[in-house]
Amino acid sequence: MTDITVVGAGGEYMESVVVVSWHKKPGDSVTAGELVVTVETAKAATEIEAPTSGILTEIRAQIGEEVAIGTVLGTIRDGTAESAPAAKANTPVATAPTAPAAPSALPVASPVAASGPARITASPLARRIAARRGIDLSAIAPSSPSGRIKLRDVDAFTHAHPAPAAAPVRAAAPTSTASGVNLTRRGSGTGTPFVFLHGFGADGFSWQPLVATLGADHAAVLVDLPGHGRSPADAGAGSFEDLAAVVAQALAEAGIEECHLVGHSLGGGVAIALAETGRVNVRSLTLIAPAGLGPEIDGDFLDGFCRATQAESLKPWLMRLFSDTSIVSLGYVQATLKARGDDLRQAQAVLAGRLFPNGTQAGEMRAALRRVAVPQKIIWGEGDRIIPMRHALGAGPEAAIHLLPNVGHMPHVEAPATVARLILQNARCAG
Amino acid sequence: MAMMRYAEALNQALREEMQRDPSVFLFGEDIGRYGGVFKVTKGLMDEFGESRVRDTPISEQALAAMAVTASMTGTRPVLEIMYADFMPLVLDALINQASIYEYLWQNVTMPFVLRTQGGGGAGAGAQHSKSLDSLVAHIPGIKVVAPVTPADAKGLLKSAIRDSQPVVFLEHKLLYNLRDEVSDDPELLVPIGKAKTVREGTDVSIFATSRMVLESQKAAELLAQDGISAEVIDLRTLRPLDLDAITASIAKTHHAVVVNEGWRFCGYAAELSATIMDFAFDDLDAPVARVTLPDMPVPYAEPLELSVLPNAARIADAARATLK
Amino acid sequence: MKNSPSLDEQLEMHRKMVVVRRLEERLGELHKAGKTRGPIHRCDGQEAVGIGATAVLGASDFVTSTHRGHAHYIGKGVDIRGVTAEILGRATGTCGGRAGHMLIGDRDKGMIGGNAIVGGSIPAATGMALSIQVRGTADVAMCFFGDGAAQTGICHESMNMAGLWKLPVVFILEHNQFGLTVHHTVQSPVADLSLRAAGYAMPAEIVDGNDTVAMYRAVATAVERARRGEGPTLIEAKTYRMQGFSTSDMGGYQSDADLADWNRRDPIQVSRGALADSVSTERLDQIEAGAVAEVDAAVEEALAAPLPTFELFTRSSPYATAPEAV
Repeated sequence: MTDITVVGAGGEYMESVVVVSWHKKPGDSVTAGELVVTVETAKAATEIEAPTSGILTEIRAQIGEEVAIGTVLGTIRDGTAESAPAAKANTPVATAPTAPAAPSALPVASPVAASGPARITASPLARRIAARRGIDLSAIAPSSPSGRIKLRDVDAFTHAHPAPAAAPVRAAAPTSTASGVNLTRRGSGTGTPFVFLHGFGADGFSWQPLVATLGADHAAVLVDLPGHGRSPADAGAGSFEDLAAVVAQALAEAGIEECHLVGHSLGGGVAIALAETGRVNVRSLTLIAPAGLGPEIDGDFLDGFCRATQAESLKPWLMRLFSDTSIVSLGYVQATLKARGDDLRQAQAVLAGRLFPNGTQAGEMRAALRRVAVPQKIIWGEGDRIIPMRHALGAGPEAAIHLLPNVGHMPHVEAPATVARLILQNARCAG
Repeated sequence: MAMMRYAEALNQALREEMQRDPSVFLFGEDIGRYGGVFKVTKGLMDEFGESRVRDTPISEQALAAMAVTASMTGTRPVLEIMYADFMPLVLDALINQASIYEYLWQNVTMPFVLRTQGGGGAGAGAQHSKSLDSLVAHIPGIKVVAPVTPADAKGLLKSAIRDSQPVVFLEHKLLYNLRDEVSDDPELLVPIGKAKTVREGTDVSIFATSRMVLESQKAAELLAQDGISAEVIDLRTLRPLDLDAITASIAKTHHAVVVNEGWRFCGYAAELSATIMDFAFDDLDAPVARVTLPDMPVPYAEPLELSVLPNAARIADAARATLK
Repeated sequence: MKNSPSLDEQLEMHRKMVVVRRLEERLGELHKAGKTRGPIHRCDGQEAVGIGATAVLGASDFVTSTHRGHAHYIGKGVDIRGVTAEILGRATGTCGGRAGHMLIGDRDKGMIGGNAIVGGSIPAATGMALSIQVRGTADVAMCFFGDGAAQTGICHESMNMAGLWKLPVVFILEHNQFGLTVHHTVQSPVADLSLRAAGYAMPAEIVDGNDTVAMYRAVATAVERARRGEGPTLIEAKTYRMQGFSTSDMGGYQSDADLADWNRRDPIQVSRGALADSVSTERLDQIEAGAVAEVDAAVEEALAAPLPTFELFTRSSPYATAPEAV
């Protein structure tokens, strides 16, 4: 039995997918490499191929269902359709009378079968927790001399690759506003929503681990900034203020008059600008490694990131975002590449040229931030290699500064629980 | 409360229950005039007479079968089988008789207690040192208890005598001289079917029976020196198992070591391990480790006997191995 | 001391023997028709032992039986309808279909009970007698066992203690000549097993096991002795097994001459002969016809009765391994 999963992806860009279509039905024969299911990531359809030849016995994720990365979409059983008529019936695997494990899989002590895909050895607890967190065990290296993945390995992986706490997440219909800016709503809360503005090159999905940690009790609005995600490729924006105006318009169209505002990196600069305009009532402002508090920024990163069209060229730059670079698996890099079409890549290059010409932050938001009289928190990873942590010192006397050890430019990915707590603390300060 | 030996606590339980209920009577080899080879019934014949405290011929098979039907017809017999090694002689009474009648006939009760003692460590050799817990715990309809402390010995024996089902009461020859505080409240019972956490811990759960509880407590001390926090659970009742206690502990520690002084293959530890698999599989972060006697006779000479008996060091090793 | 049956008692013994015989014959037919389950051990020809011995007992006395116990069940007062339904595996059986014909027990009637471990009834009755002695009542325990069971070690252990402690138990050795297919001469060096009673300081008597009245008289003496606290008695009832070990017995080891000889001394005919002087043929025919009709009705009722349904054990059941494990 082989599972069909969305493998190798995780982290910032892709935490869940929506099943778009199945190209096979239960009982059909499939050949390794043959297209079986198409899923939609943040912005692109991804075709998933059969990991092995056999018979598609079960479809677990239905069309339109949003599932976490690592979730089993379906299963393929050894054999051919002719020799296994029972598989033609659209029945779950558990009731199929002929589903004996391959004899080679029986001795638990032998970690790898002589042929076929390697069997993953993991403790029952590790399997259960990993499944709950939507983690693909094949991405985890065991630390025990037994070769068995244990809970501690899953915990270590989780720490490095935060994933949604509960999968599958209920699908939320993205809203395209008249302004073209894409908003995705999360959570069932009816209180003041948390509006999240992502960083350069990312999109609303990058908040997934944080939002999952925040809990479904809170209403969250994930904004795709112009030139990112499902928003229009080029909104003609040339400054934080331009981007803020577009976001303000989108929020107004969505009926959001009041929010707790959270911005990361580029989104941090936009958040300061948005809060200062007063076009939306910002109750609290949480800035994560924000742009706009100093001139320095890693220009090489911006250039390299915008140029990269292959996994090999993209991976080194992605690694620069994190303190724990093991997060950047090959699957993660490929998912990032797939999620960013060429039109978006070019639009982002144009935007980077306007906001960060010659590797310098052109926008200066320190004065604006001091004028925003709401609870403020600045969160920065001590290992940030994109924007220097010392920029936090320019935040002014009213901002609380939180420096996170062993975290890079992506605190909301590397330490989502801490960041979520701080955001909620800040919101409570607003009363 | 009074300080007393395990054997004295059992004696007190028997005395109190015989005073309380005239249908309770004792029989077995050497239990009357001599007071039992481990002195558990000392003085009881003088107090209760030769009808209610009987020295018997060496006839274990018939004695056990008689306990079954005597209990069915208005009395509460307490039979002493001197060594657990003799339990094979009484198995027909337990397996083919006591086990079936509550189910077949429905309106009978069998309130008898079969006391015996097992275990090694006293140089008694291959026919007087075994722990055959699994032979009796295997039988449907029979309860099996194995107290470790004097207080539990008293409280569980009283519960066993008052129980309406057959109870096999497993003592251990090395526990009889263990001294501890015991309540003198004649109505203080220890419930059958409830395990006791004798040491709290967070890293690994050690489930032990009879004297192995003491070894497990020592093992927990050894593990603590390594920074490993072991929880030690005295099962006290071998059947029916306290599943809640077992699953709750594993839900906390995710690692289980089971310790029983009997043989390994098809042994009580094997059953514990399988039960844990049944009810706590998804909480396990490592395979259940078993610490048992090897599958061989108990040797006589001290270095040989000590080589085969489970002990604190072996239990600690097993715990460390599960945590790797 | 009363040690002879009254005429009414004699008639009742006669009636019960016919009930048992009719039951055995009907079971034989049902077995051939494929309507029974498992082997059935018939006691045709041995009815007088069980019926005669139990006729002496009171309601609070106990009886332990063997795998061939139909006469013991009926003799001790277990309802024929319940017995028949139990043998046919019906929900209306004495044990709800849980026990089958070898293991019927009815606590309220003091029949506890059938025992298919050969020799198992001997310590069982001894244990009941021990209970009676400890409690100090005047009840007795009666043990039926065969010449095969007499060869077990537990027989010696039990009788030794019964004699030693003067327990109120009456051992009825139902000597039907065979342990399964093996003749007693191949199993024991002595033909009269009651010789052994001397070793247990226990009186013994050899009785014609095909004569209810002889059985009644001998057992009455033994029961009275037990009630007086004078200890156990061994009654060796000589009889013969007419229908083989069980319905699965292929036969071939019993001589035609022996069968014919014992058939001439059929206990029901012996009983009829004994009653001929006191009771009219019509009355006896009427009693026998009533017994046959009672059994036939019980069989029809049982065949029409529902089969039992299996129920899971509750948390408090002795058979619940662990609370949720049932």
